[in-house]
Amino acid sequence: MPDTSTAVPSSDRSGATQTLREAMSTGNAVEIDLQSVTKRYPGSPNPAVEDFSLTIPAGQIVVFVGPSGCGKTTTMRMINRLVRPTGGRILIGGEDAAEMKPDDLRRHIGYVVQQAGLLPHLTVRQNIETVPRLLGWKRDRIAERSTELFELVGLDEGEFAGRFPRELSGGQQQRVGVARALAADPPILLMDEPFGALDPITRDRLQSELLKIQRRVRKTIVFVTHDIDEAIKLGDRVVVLKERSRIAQAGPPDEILAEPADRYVRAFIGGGAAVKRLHLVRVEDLELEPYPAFTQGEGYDTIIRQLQASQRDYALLLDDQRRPQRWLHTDELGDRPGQPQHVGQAVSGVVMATTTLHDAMDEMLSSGTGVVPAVDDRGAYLGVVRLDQVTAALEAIHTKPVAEQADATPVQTLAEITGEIDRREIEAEQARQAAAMSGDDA
Amino acid sequence: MFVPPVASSFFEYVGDNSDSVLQLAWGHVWVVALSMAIATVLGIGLGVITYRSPVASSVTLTVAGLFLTFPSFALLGVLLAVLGLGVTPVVIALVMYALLPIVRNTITGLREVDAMVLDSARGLGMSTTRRLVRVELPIAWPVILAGLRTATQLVVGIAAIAAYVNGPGLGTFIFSGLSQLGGANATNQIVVGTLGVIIIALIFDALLALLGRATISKGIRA
Amino acid sequence: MTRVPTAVRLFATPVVVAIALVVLYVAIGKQTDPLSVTALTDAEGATSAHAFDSKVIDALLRHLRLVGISAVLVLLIGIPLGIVLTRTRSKIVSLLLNGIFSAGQAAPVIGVFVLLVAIFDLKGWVPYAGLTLYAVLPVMRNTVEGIRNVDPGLVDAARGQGFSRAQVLTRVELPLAVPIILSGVRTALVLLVGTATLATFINGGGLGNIINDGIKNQRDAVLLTGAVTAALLAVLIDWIAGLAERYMSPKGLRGESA
Ligand SMILES: Nc1ncnc2c1ncn2[C@@H]1O[C@H](COP(=O)(O)OP(=O)(O)OP(=O)(O)O)[C@@H](O)[C@H]1O
Ligand SMILES: [Mg+2]
Repeated sequence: MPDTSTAVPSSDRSGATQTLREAMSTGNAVEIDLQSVTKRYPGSPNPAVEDFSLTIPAGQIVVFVGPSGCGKTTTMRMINRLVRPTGGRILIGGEDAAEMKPDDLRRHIGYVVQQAGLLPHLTVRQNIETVPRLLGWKRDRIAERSTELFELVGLDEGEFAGRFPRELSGGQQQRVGVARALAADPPILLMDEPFGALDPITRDRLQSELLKIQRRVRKTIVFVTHDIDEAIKLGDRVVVLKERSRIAQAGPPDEILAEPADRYVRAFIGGGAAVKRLHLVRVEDLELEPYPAFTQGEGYDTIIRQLQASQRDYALLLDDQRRPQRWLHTDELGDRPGQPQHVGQAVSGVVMATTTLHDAMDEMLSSGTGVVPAVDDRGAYLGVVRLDQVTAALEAIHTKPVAEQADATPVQTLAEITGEIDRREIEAEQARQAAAMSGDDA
Repeated sequence: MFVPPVASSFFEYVGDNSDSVLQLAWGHVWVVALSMAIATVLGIGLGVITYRSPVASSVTLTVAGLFLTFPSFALLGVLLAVLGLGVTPVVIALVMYALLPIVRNTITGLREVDAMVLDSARGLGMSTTRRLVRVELPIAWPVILAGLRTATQLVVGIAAIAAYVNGPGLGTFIFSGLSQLGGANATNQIVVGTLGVIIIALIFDALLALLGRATISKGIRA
Repeated sequence: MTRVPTAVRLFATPVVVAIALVVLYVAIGKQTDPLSVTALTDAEGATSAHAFDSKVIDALLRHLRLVGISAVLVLLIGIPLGIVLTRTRSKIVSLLLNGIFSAGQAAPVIGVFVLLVAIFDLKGWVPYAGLTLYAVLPVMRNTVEGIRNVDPGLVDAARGQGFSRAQVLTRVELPLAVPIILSGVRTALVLLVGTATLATFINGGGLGNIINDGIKNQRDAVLLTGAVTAALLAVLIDWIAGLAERYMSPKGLRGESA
């Protein structure tokens, strides 16, 4: 395990020149280069993947997104050779994957699937330790590594290590799945709709945690989903695929939202592209409002004095680890004899510094307060986000010179001109998406 | 050309003894059919009576399972001691062995009937009996039939042992071959008995499969 | 099965078997001399004090030996054979397999036994061969079934972690197949206790000897001693196998139906 606290390790240094095995010993990410990769399953007339070329830069999250059956999984599984390409080459850290021993290759590539795929007869600990054991690590090193992993994915080792998968919730299973994939500190992580079977709240939380983990570990991650929101939230680069895994558009999520290459991509993004772009701004990107905050030890006098000085109506009461507990209003502080912890209103939710504005807005709207405290990854108070900050950010996005409206003049692409995309279908899809959006807002 | 002596003399043997072969085969079929008829009525009946109650059905299954655990030779022996030689102890033993697969599959089949289907049947105003006869049993029938097939296979084989306690059937050839081991026709007799039993089992199975085709509604056929 | 305390469920069987044995012992022991087991099995005239003399014990031990050795053979043959069958995707093999299974199921044990003797004479190993041949089917079939039953997604995930094919077999497929294989073993054991009573017809000995003595000499006490002992043995072995099935299955798989 490298120094995990480094926020931005120089992933460039570990680029294409570093082979998978070298990267394995240093824990650095490697580049993956797919060159005209094709997969033709026996017995089917059309290839599942046709002439797919893409470079996946080291240390980035690249998300494949596209409708069901377009070949996302197949494309991804060719990287660890669970599917054998019938044409083209895949270079991993500059080495041809076809020349490595498949089992060996897979031990150096983390793999996470939808239902977690945990072995039901093994405990959580045994599941996590699978790959290090396969690689013949020493016992001490394995134990040390598991402790790190439990911490990394936010599971209490004492509580969960001895449990069996069926004694975990879906979200917990998926955390274990991620821990297992990261166990041997592989330079590459392949994730096939890992959060697809989870409820929206858990999915959201796990997405944020994946990003948090990625900041620490900086792997090359290939992530497959058919959820465009997930793609935008997670991807450093998003690759929108159409049938036979042909690339409709590839680029940073911002670019894809702002300048969809064609109708297909636009239809896939669906309505509310502006709101979606709130996924791209994080709480930490804003200047947080410094509402006054107190720990329980401080007396009323101090609180009232500071509140008056700050010219705000509300103050936050924190616990001894500086986690926000209650909102206190000036009026409530009059000359009450009681302890502050019995006054005011409990804090209903907090957002993390890494939370996207999209999710922060969600939190504010659902708590009905229009303000929400922001905390660091230990839960300690950082400042407050207000709804008007979010709307300001939204405004800033709107004023960017891009065609957002679905009825803006479409940019004709070759694919559209040759009629490969059924226009009516796309329009119907757009209408459906729009209806769904307005339904959500109501 | 080399002709295996056993094979040729085997067919000769069958040809020469076609009367007794047919007679014993018929006896075998008859005792199996009789036992299966009784076991079917009893087994489906017990299943229908008990499937709604977890306790009653578990007791029924435990007892039927116990029957199947008893060594067949031991059970035939005990029944012989109680009832004397003849067809009766054989039929009782065969019924006891056939019971478990039939009861178990009846209970499983009836329990698997979709609650929604039952609800809508109730909604149509069907009485409990009518629901059972018109809805539940037809839907459970493929599972029950599978139990009948398993039971039949079992019973055809066990019936061969019954010959030892004077039961009818092809087992007679096997035991008579055994008593004349080394004799001229011993092997032929054993082969006739064994093969005959296998053929009868396969015929029964095929007939039950045909019965399934004729009686299982196309809508629920796998 | 509902709401019956575990202890009762676990120990009812051995208690009932013990009571039945005592009843048998007392009942047969009271038989007057000409009817007693001793008088018959010890035809030379030496009589011992009780029906449960060494003849019955010897037969019981011989029976256990028949069952035990055959059971080991069944495991050694049935499980590897089952594994081999799952390693091939050939249609012919699976068709052949189905054929063997249904013919094997339909073949009468007694016929197979006697046929073996007709071919190989009354050699000492013939009863073992017959028993093994007969009981190997359920173990083989359940091994195949158990392995085929394993969620392909799990196998795929394991392959994705870098398990080799052999490791997938030993660390994923077999452990997950254990409950189904064990239930096949249980069936095989009960089958073995039952069919071993037929070994008497091919000089194999065992409790079948006692039953047969009773039938041939029309001595019900003797017949009942053999038959009831064999039945109780089967019930007891079924119980033990049931416990094994329950406690040898991987912990993470237990109680899923609960
Ligand atoms: N093992 C296989 N054999 C034959 N065809 C296959 C196989 N696996 C996938 N396909 C076909 O290849 C195409 C792409 O499948 P793939 O699983 O890669 O799609 P996907 O984009 O991952 O879809 P989803 O979102 O539903 O998971 C589909 O048409 C599928 O039917
Ligand atoms: Mg897929």
